[in-house]
Amino acid sequence: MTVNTSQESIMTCSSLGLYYGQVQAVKDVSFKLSSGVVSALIGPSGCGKSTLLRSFNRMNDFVEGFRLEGTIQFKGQDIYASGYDPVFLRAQVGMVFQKPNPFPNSIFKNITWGPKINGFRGDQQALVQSSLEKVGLWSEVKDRLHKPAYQLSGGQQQRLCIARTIAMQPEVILMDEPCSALDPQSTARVEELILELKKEYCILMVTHNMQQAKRVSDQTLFMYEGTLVEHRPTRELFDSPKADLTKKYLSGVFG
Amino acid sequence: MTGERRKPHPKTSWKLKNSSKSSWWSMIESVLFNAVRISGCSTILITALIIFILAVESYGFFSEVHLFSFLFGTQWTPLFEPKSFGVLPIFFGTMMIAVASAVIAIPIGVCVAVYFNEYASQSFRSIAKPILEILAGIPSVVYGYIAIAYISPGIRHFFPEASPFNALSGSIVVAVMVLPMIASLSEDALAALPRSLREAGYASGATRLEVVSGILLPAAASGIMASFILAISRAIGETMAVTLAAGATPKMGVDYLDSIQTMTAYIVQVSLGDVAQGTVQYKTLFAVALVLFSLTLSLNLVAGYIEKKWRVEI
Repeated sequence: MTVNTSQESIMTCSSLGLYYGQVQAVKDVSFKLSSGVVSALIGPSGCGKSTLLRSFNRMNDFVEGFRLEGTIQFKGQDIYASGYDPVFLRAQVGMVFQKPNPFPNSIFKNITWGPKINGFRGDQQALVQSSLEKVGLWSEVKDRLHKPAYQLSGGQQQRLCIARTIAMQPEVILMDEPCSALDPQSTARVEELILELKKEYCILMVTHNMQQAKRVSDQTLFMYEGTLVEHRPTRELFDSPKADLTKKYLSGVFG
Repeated sequence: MTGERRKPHPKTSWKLKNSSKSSWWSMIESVLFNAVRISGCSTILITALIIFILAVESYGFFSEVHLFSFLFGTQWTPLFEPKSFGVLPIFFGTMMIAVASAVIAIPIGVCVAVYFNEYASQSFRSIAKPILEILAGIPSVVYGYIAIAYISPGIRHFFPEASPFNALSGSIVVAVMVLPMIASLSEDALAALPRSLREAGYASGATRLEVVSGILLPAAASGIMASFILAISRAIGETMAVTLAAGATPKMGVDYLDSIQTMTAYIVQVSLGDVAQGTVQYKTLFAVALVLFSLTLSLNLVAGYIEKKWRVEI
């Protein structure tokens, strides 16, 4: 039995190529993700960062014509190996989407549905409370847990979606531009939350907002036209980008 | 790349005159306007006229037959002596067909909708959906004939005591007729759900079945329920197939292997027969039609209500 230290990588991808039919969206990408680290994926629109993110919990399985080369390993196992159960994977690799997408249900059920269908038989009330407390939503909604989640504001909905994700006690949380549909104040709250969550989870987030990457991430990956151009600690990458493309992107020559 | 610049039109200016639209043109305008208005109003007018006729003729009927004995009487023998005008037997006949066809068609229809939406490949769907819609376009008399020629003998193979015309074969054939409606409307309701909802389900570690049953079906419940009710309403109004398949023997009771008569089938029987205008027998047509109409109208209203009231905000 080995203890999972923060240095040990949970997710690894090597020589990853992702295709939609004949179109190659991601080319020869390799990197590792560790627990306790927030990694930001940045790059211009259409550079393949969302495609890359979605292949880590096999959400691309639902896209007709999607194809993968190379490997992605989660805790040492190839998640695209035949016989590997994507449902089991997604129970451990959570995802937060661009637009808040709570279930058309009560706040309470939004949290408990995932754990319940995955065999959770513990105290639901406690699970709901602790999950909502972690995202700072408990005091705001504790009196209306059984009201529809759609009555919450956009920012609250997104925090509920994060609470729903962490209720599953995942090891990795994937975030696809989690703040792009939120107002500045809600964005600030979610960013705070991400910094709080990184103590326990491995987080990979796609963001369009370079300032956000700078504020919350430890590692930054810069992608351009499907290739991983630069992957370094965030401060180093922003202060002294090595690649010419990174320099240009960060200075706003294109983007 | 910038869009093609619009070239200035050779005649860029003209004089705007008050009289540039001739009185001739404004006359056409007003004629067209009135034509459109009359067409629009005519639908209301026709509906009102039908309701009026039904009401007036039924009033004549109810001045001869007591409303109570019509609604709660259990003998329906208006065409022979002793005459009895209890609508319940044919009302039950209609309900038997409606209930049994719903019981058969609803589960299958929902399964078809779920399969098309969640499981089938794009290519399968593009072939199968038009075929399903063809099913809805087959004339109902063809269904009735198929019931007599194939379904009923099939039933009698398993249940020799079944009558050649029986409620079961009528129910089966009506179920086939309303199936496309349920499948198609339920499929629309499912397809209208945002993709983000499916993704939320799958990302929570749910299987396809869990996403379908736990998230998609409840979220689309209003549209799916409305499709059920519209289908039942259609089954109640269905005439030709049940007239052919289920027979013309008004009976109380729920024996599906026996011949029955529905309200619609009764209307066919009397309309084709030699019942003299103005007699009570003739007026039963309108009383029965009024019952049918109230039934389908209220079901359609309920469907509309459910669709609005149960709609989940997404």
